[in-house]
Amino acid sequence: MKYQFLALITIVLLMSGCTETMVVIPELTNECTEKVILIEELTGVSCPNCPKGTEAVDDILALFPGSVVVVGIHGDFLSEPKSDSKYDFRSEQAKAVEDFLKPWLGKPTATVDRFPFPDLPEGDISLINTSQWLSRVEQRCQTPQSLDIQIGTDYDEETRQATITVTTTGMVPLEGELRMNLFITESHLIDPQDAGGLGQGIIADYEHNHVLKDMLSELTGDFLVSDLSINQEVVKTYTYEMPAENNGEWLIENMEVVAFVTEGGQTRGPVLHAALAHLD
Amino acid sequence: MKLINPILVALVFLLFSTQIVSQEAQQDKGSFTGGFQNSSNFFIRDSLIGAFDIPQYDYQHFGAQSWLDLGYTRSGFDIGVRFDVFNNSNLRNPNQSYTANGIGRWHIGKSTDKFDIRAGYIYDQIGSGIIYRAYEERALLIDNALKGVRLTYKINDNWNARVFAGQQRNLFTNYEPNMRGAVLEGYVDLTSEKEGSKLFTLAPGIGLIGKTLDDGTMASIVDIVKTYLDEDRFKPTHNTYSGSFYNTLTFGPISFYTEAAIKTAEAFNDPLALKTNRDGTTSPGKMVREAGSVYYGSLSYAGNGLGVTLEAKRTENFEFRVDPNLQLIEGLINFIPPMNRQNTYRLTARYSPATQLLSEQAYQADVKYRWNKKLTTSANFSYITDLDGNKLFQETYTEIIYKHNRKWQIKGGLQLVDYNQEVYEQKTGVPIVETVTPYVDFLYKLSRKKSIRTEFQFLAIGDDEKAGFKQDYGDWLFGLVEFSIAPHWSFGVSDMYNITPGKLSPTDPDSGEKLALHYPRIDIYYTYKANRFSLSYIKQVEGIVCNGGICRLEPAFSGFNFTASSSF
Repeated sequence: MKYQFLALITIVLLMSGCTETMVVIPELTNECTEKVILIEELTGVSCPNCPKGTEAVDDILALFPGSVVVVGIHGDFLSEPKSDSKYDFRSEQAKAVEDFLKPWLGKPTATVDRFPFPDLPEGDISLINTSQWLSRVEQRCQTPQSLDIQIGTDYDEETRQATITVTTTGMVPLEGELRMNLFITESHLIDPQDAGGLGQGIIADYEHNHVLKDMLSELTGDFLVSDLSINQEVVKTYTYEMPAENNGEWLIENMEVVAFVTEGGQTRGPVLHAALAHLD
Repeated sequence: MKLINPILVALVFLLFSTQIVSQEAQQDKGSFTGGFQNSSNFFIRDSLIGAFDIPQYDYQHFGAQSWLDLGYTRSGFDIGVRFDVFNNSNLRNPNQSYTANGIGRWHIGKSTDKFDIRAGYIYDQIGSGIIYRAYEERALLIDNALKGVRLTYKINDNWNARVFAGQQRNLFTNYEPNMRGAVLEGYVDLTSEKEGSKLFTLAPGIGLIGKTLDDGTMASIVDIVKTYLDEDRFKPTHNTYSGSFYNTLTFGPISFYTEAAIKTAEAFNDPLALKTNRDGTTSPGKMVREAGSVYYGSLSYAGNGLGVTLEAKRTENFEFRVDPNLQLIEGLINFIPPMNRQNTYRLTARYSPATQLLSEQAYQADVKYRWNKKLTTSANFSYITDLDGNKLFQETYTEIIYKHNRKWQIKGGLQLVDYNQEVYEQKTGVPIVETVTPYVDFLYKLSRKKSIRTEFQFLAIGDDEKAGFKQDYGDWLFGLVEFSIAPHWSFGVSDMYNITPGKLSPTDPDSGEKLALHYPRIDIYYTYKANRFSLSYIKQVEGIVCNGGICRLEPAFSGFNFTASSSF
C-alpha cells in the first residue's frame, strides 16, 4: 500500500501549480503614427463565418479612423452568389489576389499590411483568427511612416473614364525597388450574404463594402522607383474606364481607389503605406 | 511550490538501468522490425465535380505521402525511427499542397522488471482518452505524439504508475506549450475464493494532465482579450489541469466502464458565445475562459449469443488543445469517444457526426443476437443533442447476416439517419438531413480460392423545400462487384450514381439543369505475404471523412491512387 501512496504523492507533486502570477491585460491603444495600414479581407458571399470578419473590420475602422484602408477580396472560395443574389462579386482579379496571398486555411482570413508576423509559419501572411486582426493593426500602427501617397482623381461622367494620379513622396531614405499597387473597390452594395456563423441564416439586405472590382496594376505591383530619397516625388498616372451602371452596381459615388506601396525589393509585401480616395 | 523535473528523474533511471542489463544483452540477439506505407495520387482535373483549383489539379498533377518505420528491440531496449515524406501532398490540407521530409518520429526505451523508461516521440492514452490521447491516424494526418520522456513504474503485479512530460509534436517541429502527466492504474479481483477467480473485478485508474502555455501563446491570447470590451474580458492563466477517474467493473458477463473527467478553467474559442461589439450589438464567437467536464459510461453484456452495449456521454466545454488558437484537428490533447456506429459501407458512412467538444449529450444502444450458426441479427441506435436539447444526430441501424454452408453469405439491413448539417458542416440555413439507406452485401465462394462479392446501397434523402431541391447532393445509388483470387489478387468495380441530384449537385453550365453524375471507381489489389499494393481509378464526390469521431470535410477527388504497404 505504501507504493500506491508514494505514487499518489508523486502525482500530486507533478500536477501542483499552486498559484500563478496573473497575466495583466493591457488596454488597447489606437494612437498611431501617420502610416496607413492595408487590410485585405478574404471573404465571400457564401461564406457563413465571413460576416464575423466584416464585423472585425468595421470595429477596426471605427477604432482607427483614417489609419486603415480595407479591400474585400471575393475571389473564388466560398464566393459563389446565392440563388437570389443580384450581383456576382467574383472576378479574375479578385481570384488572382486570393491565390497570390496563399497559403491560407479558410475564410474569413485577412492580411494586415501583408506582414509576416513572427508567430506565423514561414511564407504565411494570413490571419485566420478574426479576433487577432485588431491587435495586429494595433502592432502595425506603431510603425513609423516611411513614405506618403496622395491620390488625385479626375472623372469624366460622359465617358465614365477616370484619370488617377498617384504621387509618392519619400519621408525616409528607402533602398530597393518599390512597387505600386492600385485597386478599384466599391461599397454600399446591398445583396444577400450567408451569415450562418452569426446564426442569422442568409441576410438578404447585407451591405457589402470595399469590394475589389478591378486591379489597375500588375499582381506584383508596378515598378515605381529603384530607390526613394527624402522628399523625392514619383508620380504615376492610370486611366480607368468604368463599366456602365448595372442594377445598382458600378455607381460612381460608391467607387474608391486604393493605392499601396510594398517594401523595397519585395513583390508581395509587407506594405509600407496605403491610401484611399473616392473615384469621383 | 517548485515542480519536480521529470526529465532529470528519467535520465537518472536510464543511466541506472543501462548498467544492470548489460549482461542480459549478451544473450538476446534482438529483433528488427519495420513498416513502409505510401499513398500516391495522380490528379486529373474535373471542374464539374469540384476537383480543381488546387495546385495538384492545376499544374503539379502528382502528390504523395510516405512513411518508413524502423525499430529494433533487444534485452528490453527499444529504439525506433520513422522517416516521413510529403511530396505536393494534399493530406495536411485537402485544398493545398505540402512538401516536406525528415525524421517524423524517433524513440528510445528501456524496460526492466520494475521500470520502463522512454524518450523521444511517445504515444500514450489515459483511460478512454478523454483527458489525454497521443496517437497517430494517418488518414487524417493526426500524429500528436508527445515529444518528451516517460517513466513507468510497476508497483506490483496489479498496479503501475507512469509519469511523462514534453511537448506535442507538430509535423517536423513541436508546439511550444509544455505538458506533463501522471497515471495510476490497477486491477482488483474481488471474487471470493468460493466463486473461483475473475468473476468480480475492478480496473480503476486515475490520470492527471497539466499544460503550461509558453510566453508566445500567452501573448497571442492577451492580444485577443485586450481587444474585448470589459464585459467580455478575462484573465488568462498559463496553467491548465485536467483529471480523470475511470474504472472497469466486470461481473461475470457484465462489464461497466465509467469515466469522469474535469478540466480547470482555460481560454478557448467558443463559436456560440456572444461577444459585445463596440456599437453595442452582440455577435457569436469569442474567446472565453471556462472549466470543462466529460462524463462517460458504457455498460455491456455478452453471453448466450446475445451482446448488448449501452453508452451515454455528456460533454461540456472540453476543448483541450495545446494552443487555444488552433482549430479543427490541430493540437488536440485528448480524444472524446464517438457515440455513433462506425459504418464502413460507402453510403451508410456518408453522414457521420464529428464529436462535439463544447456541448454534447449522447446515447447509444447496440444489440446483437446470434440465433444459430447461420443467422445473426443486430441493431444500433444513437441519439446526439447539444446541451440545450437541439438534435444533432440520430441513427437507427439494423443488420441481418445469413451464412449458408460456407458457400455464400448475405448481409443486409436498413439505416435511418438525421444529421444536423448546419452544425457539422457549417452549411447555413439547411434543414436537418434525413436519409433512409437500405443495403445488401452478398458474398459467393466460387471455389476454395475464388470468391465474388457484391454490394448494393440506395440512399434516399429528404427534400429541401426552401431550395426546391432534394437535400444536399440528393439521392444516391451505389453498386460494387469485387472478385478475389486468394491469396494474392482482388479486383473491384464500383459506381456511386447521383440518381436524383440535390441542391449541391453540379449544374450543367449550358442548360442550368442539375446533373445526375456517375462517380466510378476501379481497384486492383495485390497482396504478397505482408506486402499489399493497390492501384485505383477514383472519381469521388465531396464528403465527410471520419475516423473515430474526428472528422473533416474532404473535397471531391478525380484521378488515380496508388498505395503500397509493407511490414517486415
